[in-house]
Amino acid sequence: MMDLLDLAVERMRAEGADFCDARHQVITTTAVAVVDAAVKRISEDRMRGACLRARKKGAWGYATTVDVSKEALVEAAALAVRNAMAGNASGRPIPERAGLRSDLRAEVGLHPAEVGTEEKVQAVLDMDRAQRVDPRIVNTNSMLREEIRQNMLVSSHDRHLSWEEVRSTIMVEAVASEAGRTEFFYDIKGGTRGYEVVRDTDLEAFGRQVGKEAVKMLTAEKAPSGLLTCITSPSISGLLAHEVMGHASEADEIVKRRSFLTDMVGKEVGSPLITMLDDGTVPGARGTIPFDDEGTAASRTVIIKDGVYQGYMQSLETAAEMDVEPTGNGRAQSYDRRVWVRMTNTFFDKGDQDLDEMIADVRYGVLTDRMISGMEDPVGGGFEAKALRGYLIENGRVTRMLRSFTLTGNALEILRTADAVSDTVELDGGTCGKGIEDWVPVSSGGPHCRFKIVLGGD
Amino acid sequence: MDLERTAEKALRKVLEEGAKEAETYLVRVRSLTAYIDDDRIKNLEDKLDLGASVRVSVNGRLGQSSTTLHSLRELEECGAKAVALARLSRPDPHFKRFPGFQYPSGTVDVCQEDVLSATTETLREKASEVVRALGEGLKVPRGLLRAGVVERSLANSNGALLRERGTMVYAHFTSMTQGADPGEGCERYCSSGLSGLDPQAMGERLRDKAVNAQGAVHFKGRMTGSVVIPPEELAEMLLSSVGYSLDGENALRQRSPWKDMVGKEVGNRLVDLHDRPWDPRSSLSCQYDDEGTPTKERPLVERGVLRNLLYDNYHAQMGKVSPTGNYVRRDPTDPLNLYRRGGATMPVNLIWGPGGKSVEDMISGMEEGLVVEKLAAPEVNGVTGGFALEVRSARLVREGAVDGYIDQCLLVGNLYQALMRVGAVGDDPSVQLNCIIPSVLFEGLEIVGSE
Repeated sequence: MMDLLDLAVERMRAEGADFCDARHQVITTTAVAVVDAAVKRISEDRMRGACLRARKKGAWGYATTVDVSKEALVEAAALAVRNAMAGNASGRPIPERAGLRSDLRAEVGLHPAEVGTEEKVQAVLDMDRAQRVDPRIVNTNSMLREEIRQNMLVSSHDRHLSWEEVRSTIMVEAVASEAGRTEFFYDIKGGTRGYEVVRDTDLEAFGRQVGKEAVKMLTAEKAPSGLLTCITSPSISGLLAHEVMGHASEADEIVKRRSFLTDMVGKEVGSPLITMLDDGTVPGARGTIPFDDEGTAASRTVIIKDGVYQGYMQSLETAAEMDVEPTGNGRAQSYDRRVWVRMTNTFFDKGDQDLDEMIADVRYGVLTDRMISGMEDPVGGGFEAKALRGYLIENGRVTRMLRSFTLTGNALEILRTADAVSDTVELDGGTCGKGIEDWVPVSSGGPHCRFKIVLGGD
Repeated sequence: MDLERTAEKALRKVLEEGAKEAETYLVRVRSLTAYIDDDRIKNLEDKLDLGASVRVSVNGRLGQSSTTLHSLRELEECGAKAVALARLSRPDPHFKRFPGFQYPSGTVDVCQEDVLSATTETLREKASEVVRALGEGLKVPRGLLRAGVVERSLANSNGALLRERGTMVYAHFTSMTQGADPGEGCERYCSSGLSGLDPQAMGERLRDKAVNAQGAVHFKGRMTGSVVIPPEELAEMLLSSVGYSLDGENALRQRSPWKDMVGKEVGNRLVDLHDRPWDPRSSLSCQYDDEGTPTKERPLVERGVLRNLLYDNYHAQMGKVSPTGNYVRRDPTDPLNLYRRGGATMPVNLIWGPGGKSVEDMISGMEEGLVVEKLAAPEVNGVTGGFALEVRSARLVREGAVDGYIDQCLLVGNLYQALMRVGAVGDDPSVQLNCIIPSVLFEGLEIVGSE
């Protein structure tokens, strides 16, 4: 296939592309889903196709196809260049880079292909049955998902790369109901790992704990509203890092001056306790990649250091515009989606405080637990994170459980209020969209952080 | 490749492999997209997608597989994989067979000529017109205009055989004022055709929204009042809550708040929801759903009373009822990779019948409240109905008049309770995703600001 991609690149150059690349991808996804102790879905999905991408001046042309024959690729290559020439965006040329050849297999403990499907089905059934800890559990859901990506890329910079990515995820979710009230709880494990995700987990305990927590949720109370002291759990700290500071640090937003962090390098944007990173090399994390989808090796980007803003995440194009080095953040959902600046593993770095000490200092506030979702706002810097639940803190002690609520406010104002950061970082895997589409695997997280944040919940 | 014949041929092959029941679903898509970046045409994309999904039952055990499709060999491997997976599964307690052949209950043509003949050049011109309509002092940092042709064919072992072709158009543009502390606006267009997209009007709305958002002040304190939610925000709120509760599976699994509510009140008399799968304005409209059951117009909530839940074929067998023709794999925003998607049970087109009031009428009757323009992420917890949504831009209303624009506050409530307190229904329905709904005024929602 590499030789066909080479041909396609040659054709795009001959047609007049300033820069071009050809990607081929095979994505195989295996899923086992169990609902209420019965196998609901056992499936394997396979995607195979190629993307031809050409740049002329500042405009890109794309053509994608599932037909990867020589004729189809060459035809698509010509179409990509025609589309690029029809655009009218301006931009600086992408500088030449040194050629590179590489062929990498995923480094995982136990490759999913080496484990039989029967064992996987039984594992998911075990997780599901374990959730039935109480008659108030009315519904249980369990899932194993494995994805293997075989990537191949040739670019006009003489990059000839092939690499594999493996991601595994297990998830359980229990629904509890009593006297007309229904609540749920979930847990997820996974990352750029193989079947060791399952083998290293006590599946019985994993499922049982989620069942117990779902039942506890039935007594959770309404959260207080207004501006409060809030200790964010790693997943909520991660939403603040990812959704607001992260999306606004993607350099395409900076080039367009759409981000509230434009021109902020060297300026104070938070308490000195705040350091934030995007690091595509964290072993086992869900957003880890050997190369981005433009063939740049993943790297560790310091975005905030001790409260001072440091720099942005870059693709080839934005790095050219800003005259800096690319950081390995040019990513695409799959071969049939566009490449643009995306995060990998984005998180606040650890501090030096113990969580119990952080709680002991709070007279009245909230400790969050588990996230539901968050939303980006690169223009305004607004923060919105939905927490699945939390706890009230009264006079230095955790007291009552609180049901789902939302945290909001201006991100920079929130970061300036940070007065304590715990000594342990945790990362949560997820899938990130940009704008309204283009979903890529990422992780986000951080330590427990103590801020002043506006809360509201029903 | 003739999709219908290939689907039938693949079905025979899967049955030869040992499947007792089987379904083959093939999709061919051409998708064109023009992306705007900072007022300029940044990307033009022309994509061809062809794929298949196979679902089988082998001795009461279910398996499924999907693949992109370049040759018949890939389809045969996909079928063999589905059979092999089914053999490794467990006996299913509910599944008997796929839907049998039935004549359609109604007709709709959602194949619009302006999309069939569209090129990337067509999209380029339309998208550029939107940008020009904004005028001086504003820009479109991001925008996309997409047009797709979706052909799908299905065959199953119970005699269902269908082929439908439809078109889709989706546009999503953001606008932004220049200078310090910019305001942002957002507009969306969903349809089966391009003709309803008025670039001038869209550009003007984008301009107004961004300018209004720039002048917004942060809301302080809290209040409980009337809140008007426009169609573009209400659609996602309804789909994540009412859509969840209408899904018969959620009722059967005891996780839906509407599980025992058919025939009972779930809203006040102004709540009037229907599924109208043959509306030509919506790109999801179809004669058959994505597993071969004929679609049908049906009331969902009439004057506040829940009339029907929706069932796909599997959960209809589980609940011992008939499937309602609501198994949907398609997406009104993106036509690619449909064969990979597990279907969801949802209204094909969720209709809230228009009322008689304009938004201005609603404002004049309000003591205190908001008219929302933009929410950060208008999602509701479907299990509980709870929501607390960041308001990015809204008109503040006091004593029947607009008192400026506000932002940075939370709109807090419970959607299921809010349906009992609908104060007015607007006369401005529009197509939003797979909803055709107007603005709706809800009473008694909480607004929480900082301090």
